[in-house]
Amino acid sequence: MLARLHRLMAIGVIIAFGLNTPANGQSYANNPPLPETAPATSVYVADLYRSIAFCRAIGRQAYMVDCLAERIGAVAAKMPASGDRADMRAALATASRELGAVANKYRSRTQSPVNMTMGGANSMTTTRPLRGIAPENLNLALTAALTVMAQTETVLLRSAQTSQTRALDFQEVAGVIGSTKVLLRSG
Amino acid sequence: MFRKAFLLPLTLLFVLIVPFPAMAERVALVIGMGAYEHVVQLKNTINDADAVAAKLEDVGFKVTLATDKTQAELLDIMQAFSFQAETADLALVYYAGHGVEVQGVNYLIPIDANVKSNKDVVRVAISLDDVLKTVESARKMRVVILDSCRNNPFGDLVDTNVTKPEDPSTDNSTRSAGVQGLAPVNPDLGTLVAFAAKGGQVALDGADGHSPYATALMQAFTVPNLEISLMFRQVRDKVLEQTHNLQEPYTYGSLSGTPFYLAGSTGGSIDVASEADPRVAWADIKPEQEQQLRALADGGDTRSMLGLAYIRLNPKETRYNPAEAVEYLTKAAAAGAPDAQFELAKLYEQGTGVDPDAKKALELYEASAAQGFPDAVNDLGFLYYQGGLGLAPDHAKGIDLFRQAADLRHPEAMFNYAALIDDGVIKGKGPEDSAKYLYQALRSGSDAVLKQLTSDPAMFTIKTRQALQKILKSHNFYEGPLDGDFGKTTQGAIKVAFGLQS
Repeated sequence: MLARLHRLMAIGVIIAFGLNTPANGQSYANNPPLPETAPATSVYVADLYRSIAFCRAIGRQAYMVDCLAERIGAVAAKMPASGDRADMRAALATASRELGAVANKYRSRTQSPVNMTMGGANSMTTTRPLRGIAPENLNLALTAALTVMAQTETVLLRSAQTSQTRALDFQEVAGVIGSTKVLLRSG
Repeated sequence: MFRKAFLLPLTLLFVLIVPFPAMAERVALVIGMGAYEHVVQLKNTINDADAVAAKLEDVGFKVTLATDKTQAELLDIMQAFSFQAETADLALVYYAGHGVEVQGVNYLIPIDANVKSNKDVVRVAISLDDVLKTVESARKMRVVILDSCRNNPFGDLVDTNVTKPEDPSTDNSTRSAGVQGLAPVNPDLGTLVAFAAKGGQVALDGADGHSPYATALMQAFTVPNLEISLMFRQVRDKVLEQTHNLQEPYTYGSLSGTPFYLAGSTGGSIDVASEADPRVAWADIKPEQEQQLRALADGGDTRSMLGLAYIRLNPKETRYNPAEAVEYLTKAAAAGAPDAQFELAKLYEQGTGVDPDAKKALELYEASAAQGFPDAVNDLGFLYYQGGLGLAPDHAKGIDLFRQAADLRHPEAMFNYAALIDDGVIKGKGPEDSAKYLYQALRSGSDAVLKQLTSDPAMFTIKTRQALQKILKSHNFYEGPLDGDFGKTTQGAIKVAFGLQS
């Protein structure tokens, strides 16, 4: 048990209260599109894995929904807005926006938004403070968030069926979003 | 499927802070053979076994005592002990009796062994490899102590293929009778094989009812705060002194990075072995022993370097000094110690005591994994599967590494491999295979695995859950229906299989 806690500490996610000006509900979908020289899908897949792990490592359930909203949005923002991965970006951006809306709807009125950061070679920092869910709304928020994730996976898999060139890429991203498993690092 | 995907991380956050009772079971199989039916009987071995067993019980071991057993009896006992060892942190075997090397293989001789030739030894004796197998599943440390290189009881009947020592001080008041000695062994990392006498020497029988080696061991077992590696050094020094340098105990293999204090520690915890975090466990070492560690580290002992590094990585310690830890680990890693390479990789990955350096971290993980260090093989699998430290996701390579680490009985790797089988991404494997790995992961004692299985079993398909229930049933841990429902009954069985009391 202690080892697990230590590992979480070692991951080093730091919660910083009120460091940045909140930009609640900020959508990455509005960011300017990147040129088509964007990296391979595997880079986004790795980003998504790391983002989910990052949100898990926070250790505070109340911030999980908004963390995923923010991180998935950050990955989407790096994707090209045109070309054969535009649908992928759109699906993730929509997921981010909808998760953000869930976090906003059920947010706590008493908990301050917080920034999260993780050091190390795979460092990661949220670009805006995350909103915490009120304890009494947690179940409702989780249910709503599950629906968003389900829809996102479905959208990605549908895109995989219609994409001639990127079917495997769509499936892979859908696999990350829809994965039921947490893979474990050594204890 | 996606519902579970999202719930799992959220659920995990809760379960991470719910502690399970600490377990630090230490089990010992103490074997004494004296009343041989076909070869010369030994006088003190039963005394030794009885006394060693009593001392080990005194310091908290669960002891199985086996004296004057036939081969069949001993094999049965070893099988039962092996099952016990699966959920123990430390499994120790002590053997006092005849031992012989035949063409590079060491054999322990049961009382009914009737030997006319080399072939007979293989048939009627028990190989050291078999003994090592009985402890190989212990979770943290495995120790086999052989107080047995006392003679070759079969004389010319057996070609031991061992050179006689230059000065065969094999007077007949000892248990030795001519050609003797056991062959050097090369056990796995985390396994220590201790011989009463190094190759070519005889182990004396002793004049006061116990062998010098057993006497020294019994004294050392009960010294509190004495770390196990230092304990074996003290035993060696004592035996050398008592036998006027005629007999020098010797150890082969290496202990794991986890410190053990057989008689416990007075440094705030009763049983340091129960401390899963090596940073905390090593920090409990007494100042004079830290000095010894430093001396050993200066002499090139990489485990001592690792221990000193762990102490300096404990933020609660006044000795906290990550940069110094990096120095120790760098030295040990450069000497080729895979556990140090792994720990140093983590520091480079996290940026602890050193600037984060993904390339360096990856190189160190690769170097450690190349030596088969299971933690590194699993983490490298993780990095390849999901991508990280500059690696793009490579599922095929990740899966292969998980398989390799699972074959090394790494708990998290067995869980990961089971999870990927269950996801259907590993060709030729099905729910039964997934359940088999899950069961082995449970038995090998990973808190993370236990928590995953008890907090969100629905992450696995019903077929895998049913297959796991079937395995639990076959080991008498579970009596309910094979319905895949992981309710209270199954969860209870999972915890008992893990080693927690029902």
